[in-house]
Amino acid sequence: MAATSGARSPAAVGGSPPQEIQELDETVVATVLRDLRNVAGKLRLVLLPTGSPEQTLKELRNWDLWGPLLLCLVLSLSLSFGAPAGQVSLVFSGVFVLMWAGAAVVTLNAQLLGGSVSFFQSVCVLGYCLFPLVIAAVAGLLIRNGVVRSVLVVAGWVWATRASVVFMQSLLPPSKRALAIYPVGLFYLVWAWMVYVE
Amino acid sequence: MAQAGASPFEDDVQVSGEIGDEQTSWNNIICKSSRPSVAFFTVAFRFAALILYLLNGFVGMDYVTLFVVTVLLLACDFWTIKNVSGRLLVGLRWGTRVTETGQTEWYFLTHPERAGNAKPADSRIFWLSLFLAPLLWLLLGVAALLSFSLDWLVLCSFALALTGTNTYGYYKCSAAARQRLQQALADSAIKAAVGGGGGSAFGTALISSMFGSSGAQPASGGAAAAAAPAATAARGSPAPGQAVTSKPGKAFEGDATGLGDDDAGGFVHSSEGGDGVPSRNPFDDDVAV
Repeated sequence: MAATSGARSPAAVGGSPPQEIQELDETVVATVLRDLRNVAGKLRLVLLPTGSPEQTLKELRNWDLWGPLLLCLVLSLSLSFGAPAGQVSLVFSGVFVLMWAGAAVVTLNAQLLGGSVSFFQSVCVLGYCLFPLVIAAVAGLLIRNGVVRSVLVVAGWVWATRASVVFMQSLLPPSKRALAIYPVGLFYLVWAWMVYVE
Repeated sequence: MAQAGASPFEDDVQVSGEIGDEQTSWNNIICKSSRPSVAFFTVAFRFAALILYLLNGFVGMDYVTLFVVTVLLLACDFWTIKNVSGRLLVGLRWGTRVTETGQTEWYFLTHPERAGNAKPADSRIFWLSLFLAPLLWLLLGVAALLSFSLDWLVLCSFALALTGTNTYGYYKCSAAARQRLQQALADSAIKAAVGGGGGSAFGTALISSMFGSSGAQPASGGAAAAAAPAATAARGSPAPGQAVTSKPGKAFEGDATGLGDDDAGGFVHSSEGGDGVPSRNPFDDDVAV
């Protein structure tokens, strides 16, 4: 599938950036790699926020939902492994629903407080920031020592909340920030508790 | 390939018969497509997910495994249809991007050559699978709701969200493409009328054939039911995207010089502002694109 653009050179109407023009003719492999790089980049940003906060925010604003889906699947699987036999399917679907509904509720809360946040951007950020807790959950499957697990879970919670607060902070005026950040912390606290109890 | 002598790459092959016709099976259609592998994957992932869900009794997977496999199949399907099938089969692509103010806007692209000239087999496969799958998942979701199995309801609503988003994106994209085409035809019709002769008749004939043609389409009541709330009076055909590509396909080739002069086939770039909050009616045709 070579990139051909035909006899007429495509003229962009309305000044669209050239990236989209290339999108129509790129190879399948290029598309896959582009999406993979997006996801990997965001995951790395959540773990190790390098660069200025503005840069991080800009990167996180190009939302995609593949990362949260992947994280959701991994978290659901790892939590359902530890569940008692009769409740496996309940835990699995419960985690799924909790993740998306919880992210939606936290986003709605931020929106209703008057923040100018796009729904999908916020859900994307909340999903990606779950990454430290997912690591804690997977590690918790292997490590049975209670103390180590609680340390891991607390570290995961702090990390996740801190990463998402960077994003949420930018959306609202200082007077309302605490009101928006509190549900985020609570959201991750619920996850941390579920990971610990697993 | 049951029909001897019909090379799948021959441009003059007319796909005769409708989907229900015993001569025409999915195999034949996929072979007649200009890109059989793309057409195959367009159909394969979504119907594999559906079949896996429906035949779970025979396959005997437990809930978690089935859920994970279905979600992965649906994710592959979403990615394939969004990034590969639309581009290569019908020359359309939709996407979202974030503006400077932080709002999400949808953009719609049309390939200058492929958009108006999709082969009938390609467009049939594409639009049928695009409209059938969300409809089936909706029915399955209602069945799950009525039987109070919330586990399956979660899976069905997730499937509906994924397949429905693709359908919505491509529907909007084809609406945008059709609007541009109408514009181009109107412009060229005006030009021809001013220049004299039967050009205007040809132009208006094209426009009316675009919206009036339903002969080549299968009587898919399901697709009609899904699209009926969406279709305004002007768009009479049950599967709007097909109207662009099925009958007048040849006519566009003949008129290519007219379109080329206006450079109306150039990259269409239309977008609608606002972020994709579902409170907006997705089939509101009056949204300015």
